[in-house]
Amino acid sequence: MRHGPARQWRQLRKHLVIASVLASLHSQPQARGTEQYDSILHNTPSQSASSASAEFRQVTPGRQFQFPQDHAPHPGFRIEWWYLTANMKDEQDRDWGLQWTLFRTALGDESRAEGWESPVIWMAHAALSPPVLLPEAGGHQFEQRFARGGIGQAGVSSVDDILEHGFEAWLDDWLLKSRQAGALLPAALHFSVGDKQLAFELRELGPIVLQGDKGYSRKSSDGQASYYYSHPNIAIEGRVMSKDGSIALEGLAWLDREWSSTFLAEDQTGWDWFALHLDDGRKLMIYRLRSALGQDNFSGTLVAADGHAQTLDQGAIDLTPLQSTTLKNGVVLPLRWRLELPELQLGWTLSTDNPEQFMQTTVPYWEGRIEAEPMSGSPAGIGYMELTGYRAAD
Amino acid sequence: MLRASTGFTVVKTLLSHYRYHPWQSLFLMTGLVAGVALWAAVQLINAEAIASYETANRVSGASIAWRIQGSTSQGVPAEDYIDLRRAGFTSLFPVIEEQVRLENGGSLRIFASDLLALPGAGGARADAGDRWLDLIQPPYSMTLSAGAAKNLGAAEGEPLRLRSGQSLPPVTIDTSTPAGETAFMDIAAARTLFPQYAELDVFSYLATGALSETELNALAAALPTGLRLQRDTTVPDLKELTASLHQHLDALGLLAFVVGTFIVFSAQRFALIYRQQTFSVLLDLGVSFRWLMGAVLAETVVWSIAGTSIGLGVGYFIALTLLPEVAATLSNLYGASMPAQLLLRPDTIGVAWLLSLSGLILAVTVPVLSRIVGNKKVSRFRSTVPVDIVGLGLGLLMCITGGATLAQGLVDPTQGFLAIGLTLLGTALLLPAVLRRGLSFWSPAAIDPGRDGGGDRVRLFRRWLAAEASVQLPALRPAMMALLLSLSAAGGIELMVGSFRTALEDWLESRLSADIFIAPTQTSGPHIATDSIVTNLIASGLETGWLVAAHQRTGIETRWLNRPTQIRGFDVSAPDSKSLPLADGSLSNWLAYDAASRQPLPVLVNEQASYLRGLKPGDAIVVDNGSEAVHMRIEGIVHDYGNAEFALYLPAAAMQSAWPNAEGLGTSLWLNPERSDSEALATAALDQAGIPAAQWLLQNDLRTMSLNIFDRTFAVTAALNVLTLLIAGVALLAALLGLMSQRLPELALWRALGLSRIEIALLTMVPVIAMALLTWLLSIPLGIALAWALVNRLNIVSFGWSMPLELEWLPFVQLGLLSFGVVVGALALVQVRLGRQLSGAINQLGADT
Repeated sequence: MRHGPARQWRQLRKHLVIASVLASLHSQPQARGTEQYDSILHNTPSQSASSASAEFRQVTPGRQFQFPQDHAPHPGFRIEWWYLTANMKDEQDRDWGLQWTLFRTALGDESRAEGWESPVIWMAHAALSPPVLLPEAGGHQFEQRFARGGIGQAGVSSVDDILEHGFEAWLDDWLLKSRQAGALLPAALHFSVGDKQLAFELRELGPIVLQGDKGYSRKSSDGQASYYYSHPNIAIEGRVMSKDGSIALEGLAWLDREWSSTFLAEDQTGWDWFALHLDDGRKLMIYRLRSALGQDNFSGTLVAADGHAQTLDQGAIDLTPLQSTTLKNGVVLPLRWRLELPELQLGWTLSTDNPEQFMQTTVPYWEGRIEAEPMSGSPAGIGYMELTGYRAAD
Repeated sequence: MLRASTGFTVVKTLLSHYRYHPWQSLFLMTGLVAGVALWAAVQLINAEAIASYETANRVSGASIAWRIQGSTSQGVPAEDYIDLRRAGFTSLFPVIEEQVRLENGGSLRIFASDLLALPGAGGARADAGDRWLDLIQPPYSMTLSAGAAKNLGAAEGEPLRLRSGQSLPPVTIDTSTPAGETAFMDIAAARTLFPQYAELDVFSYLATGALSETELNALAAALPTGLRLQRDTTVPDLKELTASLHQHLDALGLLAFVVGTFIVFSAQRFALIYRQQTFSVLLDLGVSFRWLMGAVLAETVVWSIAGTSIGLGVGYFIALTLLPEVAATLSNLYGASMPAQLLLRPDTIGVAWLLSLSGLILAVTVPVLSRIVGNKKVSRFRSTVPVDIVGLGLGLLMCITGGATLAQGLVDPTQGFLAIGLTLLGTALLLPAVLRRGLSFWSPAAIDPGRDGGGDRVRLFRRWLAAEASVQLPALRPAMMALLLSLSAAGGIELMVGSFRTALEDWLESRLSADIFIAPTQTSGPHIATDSIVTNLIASGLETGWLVAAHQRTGIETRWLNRPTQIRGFDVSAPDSKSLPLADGSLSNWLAYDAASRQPLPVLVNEQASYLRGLKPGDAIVVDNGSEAVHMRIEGIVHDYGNAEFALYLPAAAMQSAWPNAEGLGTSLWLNPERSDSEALATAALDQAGIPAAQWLLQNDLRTMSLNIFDRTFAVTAALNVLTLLIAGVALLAALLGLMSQRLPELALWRALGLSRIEIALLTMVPVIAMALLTWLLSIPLGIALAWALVNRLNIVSFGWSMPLELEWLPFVQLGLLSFGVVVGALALVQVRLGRQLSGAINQLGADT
C-alpha cells in the first residue's frame, strides 16, 4: 500500500501544503509585517497582539541594576534585546563591521503558557559589512532567523545559569557564550551570514554604563521608556571564514541591552541612533526619536575613558541631517549628519562609505558602520548608526 | 542602388500575387498561424508550469527529501530535534502528522509543523503580517485549500468538529491553492489536539529538504542513537513527476506545428503554379536566377515573420484559454500550484520565434526552390510519378528506421520521440503511393470486363473518376498527409489514455479493493495500536460477521541491484493477492506456496526491475537478507504504476522465513457487503479496540478521487486533439479550393460539353471522399502502432512502467465521423464557390476560343 499513484499523489499534496501555506503568507503585502512590530513598539492594540499593556510590566525610574543578573531576560516585559555591533580592521587596515542581535518579543503573558505554547518569539539578526574596496567579499550581507520561545531552540541564560555556568544567548547554532561563570565577558561569539562563518572572542576593556537616568531611558514625554545599559568598551578579535579562506579581524565592539513594554509614543515614527568609539578612548551614544508632531526627543551619553558617564539631555545635543540618499531599494534616508555638543565644544560630521547597509528584515532598517570626521579640536572616531522608520520614496 | 531597387521590384511583383488572390493569402496565413499558435501555446503553458514548480520549490525549500524517524514507535523526541538545530542543522523541521475523522463522517489529514522553523521562509514570515501570528497563537488557525474547504463544508473562521466532539482550530481558507486535501496547522496546535505527542514530547518525524552530500554525511554522523535518516521516497521531484504530462503536451504541440506546415505547403504550391508565368516573364526580363531565388526567400521571410507574430499572439490566447484546465490538472494530480495568469517571457518568445521561423523557412523554401529548379529545366510542371517514387523510397526508409528503433527498445525518451516522428512522417510519405494504388481500383482496367454488367456509361464514369482521382492526388497530397497525421495521432493518444484509465481503474480496484485500511504501526505517532490489537480485531470481526477478509502486509526496504528496493510479504489467501495485475508470467506457483516449501522462493518482481534489469519469469535471483543469500525464482512481473523503486513480492510465509523481522505495513479490511451495518460495526469495533481514527481510513473516497483526477488530467489532451484535427480540415479546404480554382477553366469546359452540375460535383467529390476514407483506414493501424509505441516503449523508457494496451474501436469511429464531417464541410464550401465562379469561367472560355 506504500506506493502507486493514488498514495503518491496524496503524499505529495501533503508536502506541498507547506509550500502553499508559505506562498500564501508570502503574497501578503509587506507593510503588514511591520505593522505588527510597530504595534509592539508602540504598544497600540492590534488584533493579533491583543495583549493590553496591563499584561506587561512597566518601566519606572529608580530601578536598581545588578550584574550579572540583568544580562538575563526580563520576563514580563514585552520586548528586549541583546545588541552587539563592532568596528574592526583586517591586516590590510581595511574597515569591517558586524552586527549580531537577539530580540525577545512576548505576544502575551509569559507566565500563563510555556513550552510550545509560550508566547515568546525570538528573532536574531546578523550582518557583516566588508570593506567597500573588497567587492569580492560580497558587500553587506545579512540574515534573519526566528524561533519560538519555551522549547530551547533559542534563548538567553537565566540568572541561575549565568551564576552557575556563565552567560549564553543563542538561536540554533548562533551563540554568544561567556568564557567564565557569573559573567558576560570574556565571551565567544559564533554565527554565520550567508556562506560565511564568523568566530570572535570578546574581552572587556571598560565597565558597564547605565544610559539615561541611571538606566531609565525616557523615550517620550508621555512616559514611554526603557531600561537601557551598554557595554561600550569591548575588544573584539576573530576571523571571518568562507570557502575562499579566512580573514583575521580586530577592533572594538559595543553591546547594548534594552528592555521595555512601551517603547514609542503614538506620534513617534522612528529613531536615529549613533554609537561612537572616539580616538581618545571616549565613547558617545546619541539618539533621536522622531515625532510626527515635530517634537523630536534627543538623548545621549558621553563615557570617559575611565568609564565615567555623563548624560546628555535634549538641550546639549545638536543633531542635523545633512544629506538624504536614495538606496537601491528605493528607501530614502539621511546618511550624512552633523553632530554637535555645543556645551562641550565637540562636533563631527558622520558619514558612511557604504550606503547599502540596509537590513531588509521583518522590521526593515538601516544599520551600518560609520566614520566620525572631527570638527576643530574634537577627536575622530568610528562607530555604528541605526536608522529606523524610513520609507521608500513614493 | 539599381540592384537593390530591382530586388525590391521583384519581391513586390511576386507578392502582388497575393493581393489578387486573397483566399490564398488567407490559407497561407492560416497554416502559418495555426501551426505556430498551437505550438507556441503548448510552449507557453509548459514554460509557465515549469517556472511555477521552481518557484514552489524555492518558496517552500521545504519539500521533504529526507526524514528522520524514531526506530521505535515512540516518534522523535523534541529534545533530539533541538539538539540537532543547535548543532547547526537548521534545515530540519518537526512534523506531526495525523488523520482525523470529522463529525460529518469525512476524514482529514493534518500536517503540522513549526512555521518559525521552516527553512527558507524568513521572507515569507516577514511579509505575512498578522496571519502567521494567528497560526501560532491560541486559538490557532488551520489552513485548508479552497477545494478541501468546499468538500468538507468548512467556512472561513469556523472550526470543524471531530467525531470525538473536539473542535479543530478555526479554518483559514487558502484561496491561492485550488486543491489538496491536507490541512496545515502549527505544531503547538497539533500538540493540543493530539495530547499524546505533548505527553511524550515527541514528533511524528523530522523532515528536511534536499541536502548536499556533505550535509547528508554530517547529519547522519550527528544523529542521536535511536533515530534513523531515510530518504522520503514518496515525494519525487515535481518536475520529474509532471514530465509525462509535459512530454505529451510537447509532442502534441509539435504535431500541430507539422500539420500547420502542411497547409503552408499546400498553399505555397498553388501560389507557385499561379505564378509560373510571372517567373518566366521575370526571367525573360533579365532578372537573374539568383535574384529570383533571393526574392522568393525574401517573400518567405516576410510571410514567416507575419505568420509567427500573429501565431504567437493567437497562441497566447489559446494558452490563456487552456491554462485553467492545465492548472487544475497539475494541482489535482501533483499538488503543484500554477498562477492563473500567463507571462510572455522574452526567452519563451525568442525560442518560439527562432524555432518556428527556421521551420517555416524550410517549409516554404523547399517547394519554392524545387519549383524554380524545375522551372529552369522543364518549362511545364508535369508527371508526379518521380515525386511519388522519391516519397515512397524516403517514406519506406523512415518507416523502417523508426519502426526498427521502436521494435528494438529505446535508450531514452528523445530517441523514442524521434523514432515515432520518423515512423509517422514516413507513413505520411507513403500515403500518396497507397492512395494511388487504392484509387486504381476505380479504373475499369482493374475490373474483369466479363463481369462488368454496368454498360458503357458506368465504365466511362469509372474511368473518368479514376482519371479525376489521379489529377486531384498531387494537389491533395499534403492535405491527406496532414489528415493522416492528425487522425492517427488523435486515435493513438485516445487509445493510450483509454488504456491508462482502464489500467488505473483495475489497479485501484485490486490494490485499494479493501474497504478500510489501518495504517502501518511504525510510521505514526506514539499511540500506536500493536499488531496483536489488530489481529484480535480481525478475529472478532470475522466472528461477528462484519468482516469477510483481511490482509496484513509486511515489508522491508533494502538495496538490490544498486537500486532502492521494497521487499513485501503478501498473504496469498487475501482477495487482492489473487488479483494482482500481471504484465507477464503466472500467479499459480506463487499463490500455491506453503511454508513447508524450500528455496528458491517464488517471487513476483515489478516491471521497473524487469525492464531495467532485463528480468523475466523463470529467472533465478538472489537477495542478501543480511545474514545469508536468499534464492528466489521469478514467477511473474507485476504492473506497478508510478513506483520509482524496485519491488519484490513474496508470499507471507516465504517473507517470514527469509526476513523474520520485517515490519508491518498496515492492514486492509474487506467488509461484509451483505450487511448494511458492517461499516458502522467496523467503526465501532475500531474505536473499541482503541485504534485511533488517525490510523485508519475508508478507501472508497480515495478510489473515486483518483479517477476524477485522472479524467481531468487528460481533458487538455482531448482539446488539443480536436484542434489539430480542425487544422487538418483547414488544410484540406485550402487544397480543394486551390485545386478547383486552378481547374476552373477545365470544369467550365465540362459544363460547356453538357455535364450537369451534379455530375461535376460527383466527379470532383467522390475521389476526395475516397481518398479521405483510405486515409482514415490507414490511420487506424498507424494510430494503434502509435499507442503501442507510447505505452510499451516511451512510457517504459521515460517512467519505467507500462500497462496493457486496450484496443478500442470507438475512438477511431468517432474520429472517422468527425473527419467525414470536416471533409464534407470543405467539399460543400468548395461546391458553393464553384457554383458562383463557373458561369464566369464559361464566359471566359467563350472569350478565349
